[in-house]
Amino acid sequence: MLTRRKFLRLCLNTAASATLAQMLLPELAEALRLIPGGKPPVIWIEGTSCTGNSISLDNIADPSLRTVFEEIIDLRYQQLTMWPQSYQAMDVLHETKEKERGRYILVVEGGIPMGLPESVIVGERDGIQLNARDTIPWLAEDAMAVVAVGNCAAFGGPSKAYPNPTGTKGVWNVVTNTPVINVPGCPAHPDWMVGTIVHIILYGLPRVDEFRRPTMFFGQLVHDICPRRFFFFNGDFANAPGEAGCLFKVGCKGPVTHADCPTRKFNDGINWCINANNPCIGCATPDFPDGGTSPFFEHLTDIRVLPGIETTAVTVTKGVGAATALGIGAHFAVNLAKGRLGNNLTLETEKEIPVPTDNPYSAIKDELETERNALIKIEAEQILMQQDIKQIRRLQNQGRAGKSLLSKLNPLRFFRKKNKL
Amino acid sequence: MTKVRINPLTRAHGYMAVEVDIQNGEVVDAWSSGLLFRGFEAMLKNRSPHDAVYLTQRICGICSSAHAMASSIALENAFDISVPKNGYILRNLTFGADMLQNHLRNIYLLVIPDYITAPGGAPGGPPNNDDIRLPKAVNDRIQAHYLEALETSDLAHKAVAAFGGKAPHLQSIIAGGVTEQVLTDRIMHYQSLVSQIHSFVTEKMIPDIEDLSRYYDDYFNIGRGYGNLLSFGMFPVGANNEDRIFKAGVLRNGQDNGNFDPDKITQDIARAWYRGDEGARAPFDGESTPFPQKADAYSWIKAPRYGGEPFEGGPLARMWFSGIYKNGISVMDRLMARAIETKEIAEKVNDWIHELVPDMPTINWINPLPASGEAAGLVDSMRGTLAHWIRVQNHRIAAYRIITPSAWNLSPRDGEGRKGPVEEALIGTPVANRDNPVEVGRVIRSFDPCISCAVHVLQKDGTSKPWRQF
Ligand code: SF4
Ligand code: SF4
Repeated sequence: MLTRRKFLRLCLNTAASATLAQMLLPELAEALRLIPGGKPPVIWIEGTSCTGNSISLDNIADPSLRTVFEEIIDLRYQQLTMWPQSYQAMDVLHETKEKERGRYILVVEGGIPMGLPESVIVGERDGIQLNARDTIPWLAEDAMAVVAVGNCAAFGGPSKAYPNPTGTKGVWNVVTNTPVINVPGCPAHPDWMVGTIVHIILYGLPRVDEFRRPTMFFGQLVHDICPRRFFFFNGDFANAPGEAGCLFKVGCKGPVTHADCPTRKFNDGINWCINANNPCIGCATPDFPDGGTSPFFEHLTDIRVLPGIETTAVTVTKGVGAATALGIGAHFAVNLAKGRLGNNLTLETEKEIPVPTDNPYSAIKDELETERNALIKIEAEQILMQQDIKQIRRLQNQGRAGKSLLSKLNPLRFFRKKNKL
Repeated sequence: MTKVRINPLTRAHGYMAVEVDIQNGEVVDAWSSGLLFRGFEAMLKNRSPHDAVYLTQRICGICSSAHAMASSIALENAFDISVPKNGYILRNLTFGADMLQNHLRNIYLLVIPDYITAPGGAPGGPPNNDDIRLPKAVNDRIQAHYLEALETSDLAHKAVAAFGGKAPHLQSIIAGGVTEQVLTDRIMHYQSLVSQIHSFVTEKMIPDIEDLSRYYDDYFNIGRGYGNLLSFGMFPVGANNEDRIFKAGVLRNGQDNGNFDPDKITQDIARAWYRGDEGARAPFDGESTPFPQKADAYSWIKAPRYGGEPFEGGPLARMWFSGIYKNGISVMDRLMARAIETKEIAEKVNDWIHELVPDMPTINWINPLPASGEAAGLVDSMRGTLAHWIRVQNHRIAAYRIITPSAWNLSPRDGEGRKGPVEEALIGTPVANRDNPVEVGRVIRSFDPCISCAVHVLQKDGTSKPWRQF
């Protein structure tokens, strides 16, 4: 049985070359079979969106989208992919809300246009136009949980970019009667979306931070797990996008962005922003694309490294010691949490995100650290071993590997574990 | 009541509806509405010019690379930035892979469900469709390919990310070139992904579309529209993007109509939910603000016109002007052209790869840019002609204008009362069952509609006043 511990471990263990879903699927299918009533229904509705998260979901590599549809969720409503149209589609929406009360998951993509409700019309019924502003909370009423995917749904994102022409707000600012889990990112990584949905189905709501982001995916700063962190320590900075080196000076927002992109990577692991020599633009932060994340190619402003010492990225050049560099990272984390980051462009942007009074990250990070240590350090070897066994079993089932492989693997792993190799 | 409304028209990007007037089993009039508005032009104002490349991608989740291209080209034209050879080749490779992604998804995810029966697990469950004509064996084969295409299309996005950083919403194409380097392992990876897609296209997609065209051959006579095709040319080459691999062109009522002239582009807000300067306006001429209470208006999309007339864009226009496919203009011809273009691109990218030069620069990065400049970035994208116009003053964007392909194709009527291309194409469509007009959906989806792009407004209105409840 897939325990929550094990599931979390899979989510956290992004260092393995396999995708989250790859590790997850075999046990997941079995666990889902045990759920009373079968695969949970999912309604996917859009507000002010670019449909990029629907497309990102389609990019899920392993399991393929086909498996997601066939085995994991029962996708009842999604504008982009659903077969019925017009009133037939609307019937599906209404029926699901009525018959699956308290059982369906509502996925929202795109923000809620509070200022200009006519800007998004999701459909009509009996001649009455249904706008997103009223439809989304109405659907949320009877949902088991709401998952806001992408930065627009979570925090308003690009749809609420200054001057916010449609008065867009994040779903959690509007929906109050049902728990909302935020899965930001522009667009969100398919693993983040499917991982969160699966967690809700199997174990209920995942642990979240102050911004209601699942800590299993958004518990760390990009900067803290960035493969170019050593360049940063050494003061080896790129002077233009496209160069090797730490991209801090050309605008990297990794030091203020919580997401696991560096280890998870995008599109089946082939690449990701910083790996393509391009600064992180902070697309998973609550303020994106305002509040200091833009201009995208300008470095973060106003760095007070340690009390009394001020510096800017321009003076952060060769020779800055590791301690100072560390201080910069920590400083950003605190400032982000306190909502103090520079408004260098969009001073007037409405502040929608409630600002926590004290630094939530230290507590969360401590907790997460403990969890990671417990889960990864102690059990890492076991995970690897189980994965290998699973992989071999799968190959054997497909007739692509002999029985002897398994017996070869076990002693080796145990030997390595015993001898701490 | 002879009018029938389809709302929502699913399997389109973003929300749209269509109303058709059906008399004696035939569409005699049509109104297409874009039902999504976000206001990107207002958001771009006062931002750093470089940011436009990333922010405009957020307009559309399926054609983000197209906006990155148009925006980069606009900046390069405005500030005379020359692009290194590796830069424009990598750009075309990335954009080409995104075209493959889009066409695979359009054909299988969005179009084919109108012609076959639904497999188990199909989102939303099986629809009511009384016009399924394929023999069981063919139907089942295409159904299997629908499921397979779900898996193949993400390979195309993987190829986009190889040099684009990630997809959707790339992090690599910017003004001056591409930030990713020419890496041999990445090239090999890219080639192998494209070759897998190529075999899917030649072995499955093209035969599938040919089968559809055999059993639904009446659709060669449905959905012609005005016979007006427009292309800005696709896959720019040269340091100043001066040449195009797929050529630009203008076809008016089925006849060639001289060279494309960007100055003939106007747009009109007569029947769109905006108030402001009326009449046909050049891109930077005229202001408008959202006004959903406007009587007579029925769409968030403005009406773009070329030389005063509506034009459609897309694979058919490009294949026509490249001389590759000139069979005719109809629903089936659009699908055929899209399938053929997919194959053409999957083959052409392999030639471009050989022109890459390892260890040579991929980008010409200029920052800060000069204080002021103005230019257009015109390029064909997945669904047709895409245009960005940028005006920079004092190092900030003073004005930005975007006319997207779907604004052309799905345009409402203009001030002169001329219908948009989709509206015109719907005229004459036979409808067997007015309670379930599957034929109408087929005509519209042949254009690969995308409403995410209905983006126009300059200034925010006082949005605090109470809006009429819809
Ligand atoms: S500043 Fe950016 S590139 Fe540099 S180490 Fe941090 S996250 Fe990585
Ligand atoms: S690295 Fe930064 S910009 Fe890239 S996807 Fe992650 S959060 Fe977004």
